[in-house]
Amino acid sequence: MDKISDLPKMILHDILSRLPYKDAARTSVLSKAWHETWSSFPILVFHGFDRGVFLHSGDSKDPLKIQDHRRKVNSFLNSVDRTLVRFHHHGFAIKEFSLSMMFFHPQFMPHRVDRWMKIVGESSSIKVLKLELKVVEHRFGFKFNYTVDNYYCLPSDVVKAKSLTELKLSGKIRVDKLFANHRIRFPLLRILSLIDVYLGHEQAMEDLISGCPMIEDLKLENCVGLENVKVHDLPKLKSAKLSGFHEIDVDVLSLEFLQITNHDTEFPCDINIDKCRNLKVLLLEAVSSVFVSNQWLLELFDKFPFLERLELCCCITSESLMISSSRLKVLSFQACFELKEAKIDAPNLESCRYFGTHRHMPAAISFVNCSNQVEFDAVFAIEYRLDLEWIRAFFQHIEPRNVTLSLKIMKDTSIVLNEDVLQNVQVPLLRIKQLNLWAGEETQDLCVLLINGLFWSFRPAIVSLNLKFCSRIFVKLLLEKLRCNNKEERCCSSSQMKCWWHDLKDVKVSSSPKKYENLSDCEALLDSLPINYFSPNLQLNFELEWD
Amino acid sequence: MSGISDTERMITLKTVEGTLFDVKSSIAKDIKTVQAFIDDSDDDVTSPIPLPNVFTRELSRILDYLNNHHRFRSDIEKADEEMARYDAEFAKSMSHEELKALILAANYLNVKDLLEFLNQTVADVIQNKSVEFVRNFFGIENDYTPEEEEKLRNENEWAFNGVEQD
Repeated sequence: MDKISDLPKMILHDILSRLPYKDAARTSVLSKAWHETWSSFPILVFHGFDRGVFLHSGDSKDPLKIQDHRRKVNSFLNSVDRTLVRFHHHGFAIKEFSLSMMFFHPQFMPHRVDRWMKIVGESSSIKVLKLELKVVEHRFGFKFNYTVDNYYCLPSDVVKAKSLTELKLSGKIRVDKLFANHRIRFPLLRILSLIDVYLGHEQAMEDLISGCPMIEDLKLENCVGLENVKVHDLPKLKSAKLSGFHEIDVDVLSLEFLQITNHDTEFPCDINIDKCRNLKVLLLEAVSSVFVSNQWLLELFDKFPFLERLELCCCITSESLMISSSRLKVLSFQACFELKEAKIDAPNLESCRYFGTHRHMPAAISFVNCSNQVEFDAVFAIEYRLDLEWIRAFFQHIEPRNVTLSLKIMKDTSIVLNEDVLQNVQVPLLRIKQLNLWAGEETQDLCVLLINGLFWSFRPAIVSLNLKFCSRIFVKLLLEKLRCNNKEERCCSSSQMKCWWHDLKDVKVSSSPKKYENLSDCEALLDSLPINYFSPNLQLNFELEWD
Repeated sequence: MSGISDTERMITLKTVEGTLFDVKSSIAKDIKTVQAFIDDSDDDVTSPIPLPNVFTRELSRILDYLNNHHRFRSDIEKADEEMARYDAEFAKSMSHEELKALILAANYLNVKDLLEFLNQTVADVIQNKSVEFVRNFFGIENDYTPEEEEKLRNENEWAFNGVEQD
């Protein structure tokens, strides 16, 4: 016997639990002993998508593809059946049951899921239950009526699972009938997440919460039939994510993390969270009832004296803001387009993020009393038109902080670069820590212009790109240019404007996953990729040393 | 419990071979099996605690690991960095046989952190690797017929998608 296979099952199961599920499943092929270990592994994960059970929408009219998909669905359902029956039969412990299917059929499948829930509910060791049931019409080739009558009714067997510590329900699931007829008590539940499920009415939610006093982490997202939510009496609650409510009332002293999202602009969301004195993190996304002004900020930092992280996304703000806090460590503005100017006075600030687009002039951000070590992340999504002068101007007040600039540049974006300015004026080149690029451009001329424009504007210590999000021609041209630094000849001696690559002293390449260590490796990789094939998810990093 | 401070008290452990190890009681706390023995004794433990399942080589390595981790933890500034470096060295220095013996000893002694670390070490070898690589690495004998293996691979086809050849 080898040295590993005859370790106690419990230890082998612990090792398997540290692996991605696919990797753990592969160990069943190692040998018969490993197969046996896998056969009683108490974590059961059945994710349709991960197991290749999906139908591209483009294939939804192809009878052969539909037939093949049906065959896969059946084999998936049978495999869940077989596994659970085996566990039940042998009395194996089930610690986790996680099921995700996008092909839930409200007529033919509920009785099967009921049977699985019965086995899971009766397992005395069950700790984690995750259920995601969705209906994507084209997978069946006909339309469903989306009324709650077609939702899956969570059966009462689930209520028996008193050992649950984590319950996540997502999709076409209704729990109203269950809650109406049973007193729900999960005395050990720490994590509760309900996404898109049908709850029926507010009382159901309150009853559920009152039966789960140990909840630390609560997520309620777009729960059908639930407009208002009251979160009280959860003395352990640390984190809450609430989305899609018209009225939110949270009164929990232990709460540290709160995220509120409200995409339905027709119904502004009334928020009452003033009693959460210990809040450390507040994330507001598209909450139209909030108007972020200096007054609002003053009151905010006063109400929540421990606030360390404030992130505002798609929020309406005053044109000019003064952010002043001695506690604040992380500040983020994402798509807050009214903001024209922000002064940040936060001596403990560690990082600051700004997300903008090409459509709105970025806000002028400046720092007062902030450390030079503040990490500054700027992300711009660019379509149609990239004005590098604009972005240079944005960084004027931010230098010399640790700047990471991420540019997501879509195909067919024109590059605006005033070469006259660059040629005649000694522009101080912006040294930044990192430049992350997504470049979908596919014409050679625009790629050359983009590459030159970027390096005439910035001197990044690291350029990082993911092959998946960059066109092949862009990567190819960039590699060519980075190679140029070796050339002795001065191609630009006559012109006033020096080629940027002459300033480049050295280029080091690294990749993750680790595989490519120099420019030639990368070029060979690029040549080896089939044309018209999706590039792999591969991160290439170029460490650049400048003169 | 006596009034003497924990750091001054020493506990003696005895391995299968009869080797004696003196251990600070603060270290012994991390060895749950030993701690349970101490807690269950009415008087102060003065005679050596026998460990009938643990060999000298493993106990000495486990104590080495615990002592170092205690030392790192007392120096908060560099704790994480040094601990990571030490752990990496520790993992590298083991043969498979030693790794297994150590897992069994850590399991018996119920040293949670170390057991987790060792199990993670095994998991790190397996992660992202092909069946052949793992078999080779640990010397696992393939006792399937080619037909049986083919069948199993087909049944678990989803688990083999996207595995890079090593």
